[in-house]
Amino acid sequence: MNIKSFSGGAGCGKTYQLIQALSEWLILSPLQKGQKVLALTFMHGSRRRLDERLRSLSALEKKYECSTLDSFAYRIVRRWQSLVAEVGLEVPGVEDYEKVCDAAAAVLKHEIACRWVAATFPLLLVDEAQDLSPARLKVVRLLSAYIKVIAAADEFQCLDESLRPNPAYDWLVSDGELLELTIPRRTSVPALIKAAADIRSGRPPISDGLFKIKLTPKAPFAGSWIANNIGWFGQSSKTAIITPVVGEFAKKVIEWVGGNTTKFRHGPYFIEWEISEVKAFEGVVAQLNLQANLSSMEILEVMKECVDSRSKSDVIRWLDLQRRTQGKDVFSKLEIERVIQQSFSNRRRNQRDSGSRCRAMTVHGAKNREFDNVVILWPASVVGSDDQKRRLLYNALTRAKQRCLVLVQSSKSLTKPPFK
Amino acid sequence: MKISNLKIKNFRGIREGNVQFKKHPVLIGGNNTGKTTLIEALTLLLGRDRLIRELTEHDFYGSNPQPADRIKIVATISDFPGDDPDASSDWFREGRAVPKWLDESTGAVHPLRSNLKWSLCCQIGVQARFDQDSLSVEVVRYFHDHDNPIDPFSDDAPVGIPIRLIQQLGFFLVRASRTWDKIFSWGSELFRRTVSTAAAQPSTAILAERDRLRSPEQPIEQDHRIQPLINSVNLEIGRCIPNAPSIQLRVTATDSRSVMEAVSAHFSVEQGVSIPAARQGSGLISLQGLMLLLELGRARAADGEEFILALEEPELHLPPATQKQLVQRVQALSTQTFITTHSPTIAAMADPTSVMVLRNTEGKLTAEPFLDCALTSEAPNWKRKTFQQNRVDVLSALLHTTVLIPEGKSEFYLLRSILRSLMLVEGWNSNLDRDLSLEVGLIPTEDSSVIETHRMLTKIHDRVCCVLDGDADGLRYINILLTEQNRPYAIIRWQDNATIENVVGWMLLADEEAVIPAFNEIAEALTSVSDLINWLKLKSNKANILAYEVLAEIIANNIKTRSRATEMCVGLASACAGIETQRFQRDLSGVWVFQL
Repeated sequence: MNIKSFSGGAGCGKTYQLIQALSEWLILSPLQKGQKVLALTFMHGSRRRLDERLRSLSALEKKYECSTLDSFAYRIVRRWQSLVAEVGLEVPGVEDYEKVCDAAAAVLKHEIACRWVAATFPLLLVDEAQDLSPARLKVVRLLSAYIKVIAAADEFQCLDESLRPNPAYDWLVSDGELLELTIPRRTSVPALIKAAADIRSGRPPISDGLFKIKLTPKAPFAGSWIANNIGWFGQSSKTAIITPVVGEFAKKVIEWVGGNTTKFRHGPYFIEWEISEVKAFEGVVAQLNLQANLSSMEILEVMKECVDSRSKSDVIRWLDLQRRTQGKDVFSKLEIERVIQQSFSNRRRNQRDSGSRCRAMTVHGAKNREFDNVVILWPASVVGSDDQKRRLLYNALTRAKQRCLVLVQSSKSLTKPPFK
Repeated sequence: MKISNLKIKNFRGIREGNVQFKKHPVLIGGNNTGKTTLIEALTLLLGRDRLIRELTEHDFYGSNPQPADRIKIVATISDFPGDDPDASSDWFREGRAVPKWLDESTGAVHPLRSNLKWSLCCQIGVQARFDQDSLSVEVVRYFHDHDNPIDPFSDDAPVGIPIRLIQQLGFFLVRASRTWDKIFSWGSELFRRTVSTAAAQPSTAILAERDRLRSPEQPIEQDHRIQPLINSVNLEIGRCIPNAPSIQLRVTATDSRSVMEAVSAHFSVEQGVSIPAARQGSGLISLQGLMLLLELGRARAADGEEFILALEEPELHLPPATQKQLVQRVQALSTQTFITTHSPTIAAMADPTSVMVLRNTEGKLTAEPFLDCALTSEAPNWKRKTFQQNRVDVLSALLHTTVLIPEGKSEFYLLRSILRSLMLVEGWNSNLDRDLSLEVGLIPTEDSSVIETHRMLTKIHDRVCCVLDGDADGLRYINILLTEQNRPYAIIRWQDNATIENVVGWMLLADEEAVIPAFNEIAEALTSVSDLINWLKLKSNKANILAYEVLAEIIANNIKTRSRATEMCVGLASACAGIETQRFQRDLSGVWVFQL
């Protein structure tokens, strides 16, 4: 069997099994000279975590490459662009992800290209496979004819409503050997395990002990819950405030926590929002006064105002490189923005989880991570099907190792799934 | 493996060039066409780092590189075993080259093999830029994936080539300027590589020599003259430092490296002291150096490894008698040999389809094979002669700025005999406007195939001129030449109704009285110049080389006739260069006509 996979609920050790299976495979078929293991995920966050695990696997001796599927696909497209042109496609830009994957699939339809990949990578690991769109999955499927694939996927953790039924999961079931994992490993707290199991099977979760659901219609009320929670449990453990939507309610709550003290004398606690790469980039660019065409001197003047020091230094370095290698001195707004965007995505690729103990983030941003203490902010504005809402709550609460507190803004929410 | 194609941009005197190679190409061409540049381009791609370190602004076309200017060289390597990328996974896999397919008939490279005649190939590239801040040249070697423009120095990041992979090709360059006397020592890279490839390190002998030097039978410091001096130094030191070690004098630093560095090749002489290589005649030394190179080739071939050799102007290193044998040995032992040469003799040793004639037109380098495909049994006589018996003469003509095709073989012999005799006269060419022998190469035209020969040579030479008779045949040829798609650079003819014999007659008439007595060395009963002209025109006397040589001698030895001959030669060379003289002037159709 060329495709092996692990499925199961959050925290059941899919990634652990993935690494175990890799270790066993390495013993049976040691890597030859020049060979490496290829590890692919959809998102940068999961890529980073998978990378950390692979780096610490001593049997692998760092002979692996861990990247996102999109960047791997782009690498193929970039190098095989004469074949892409030969089959009548245009070479897509690096940010045109779906087209990049389509073009990569067009290349990998040719045996010679698959063999070319297989000569370096005899084994492909795919983590979080449920997040793969059909175009991305196609890249994996084409390679699986020549490369042993070991994957991990949980259909229920897919938050993209367009991927239902889940193409990757269905493929792993029909074409490979899939092992369902059922024993939770992340937490041994019965209330958390039960709540997760209930939500997953469509039942309402029960507020009990270490898993609590509270109605908090007003932001200060929710804020004091959070401050007290941090005050009592958050000093020595990693805490995450997770919300499906960063709206007015969530922002006010976090703001309140940053400026107030509870009657139990907890706070104020300044909690940083983890914002997505795109948002961060847009924020930096919006604040800059970039004109259509500027000389490098003018750009340097504009960049003095830039609040993000990494963007600033990346732009300065890029301008210098252009001057030295291209003799260019006038640049369009778009070119500079692209450099700043690149600066953000590079950073995201290299970023480590920051030292701060408590952070606020979206459910998407929390995917694939774990925290000792989780507070879920559930505003009234959460949209989507009942199934989608269950998945959102499930993804958020299964991040918790020790305890989880759900703060619900609207009493109406409590009468509907996922709470009812 | 072999280098099938080389594309060059902005390197030295080559603005742009694209050359296809066979297995053992021999590169000929005039000075400054780019023979050495082509070899250096190969070295930049395949050689060690030395050349890269030495790059300066002058290595860029035009010598004034701007930030966006790049030297760019791309080689196509083919002949991989079985044309199977999996069998050469060192070359073809993710992280290395993308497999591509070469159509050798056109030089085109395709991403997919849609024709079984196409062979697997790998393209590698090198780019260099001059940095105006650091005043240094930055060089990157990478796998050339596609022909879309990339800049490895700014936003693109091509996959670099591991040096070990390059070393697999076993590229070795023998420069024209090589000093051979240091070849047979550990200071020479060639020697070290050969020794290590052949696993021939003489370690036992080196260690034995080291030990012998450590404890010599007759230590220098114990020589009776120096001993008192050493002793008193030892004594003085002993007063300052008790138990100080005493001084010994040893040859070399007595470790194996110093022993190897001190080794210098000698040549044994019968019943005498051997002579060090540096004091030996250069012919023998260079031959021994080349033999060492062949050993390297032999060792690599025995291990199934590649050996690509570039040999610059082997005629400089070798006595003529050994040239042929050596070139053949080198070709037999190497995977591919690139030879550049100024010697028609060496070029003529190679298969004419492997001889590449280089041309450089305002920086654009082109290289066409001397003969594009091997001659079949149906090949006409003139063609066979041109590429076989007359090969040396034709190749030698091609090395000149202008190639001149006379109407037939007798014109070739006559002109050549006259020119040679003129050259032997002292001070002949010191104050001439143009030198025919230097600028113009004469073609031995077979069977009056002037039209065919012209068509063939315009493909490989920029300046092909024809010189024809002023008779009916000559005019007929001229009419054809005038309508050719590629007209000759200059069409030249003798005066109306005249042939070359009449021109010779005109030279002799400058001093008829004086030269007539010498005629009987040519034939009996020639009592006037017109007698001689008629005699020369007899069919039985055509291409009578002996007669031509005597005749040329007569012309050269008389001041007046020599002066006319010189005038004709200078005029001919000028016409070939497009310059009017009193002797050659253009008529209405642009044909240069000889004037009496």
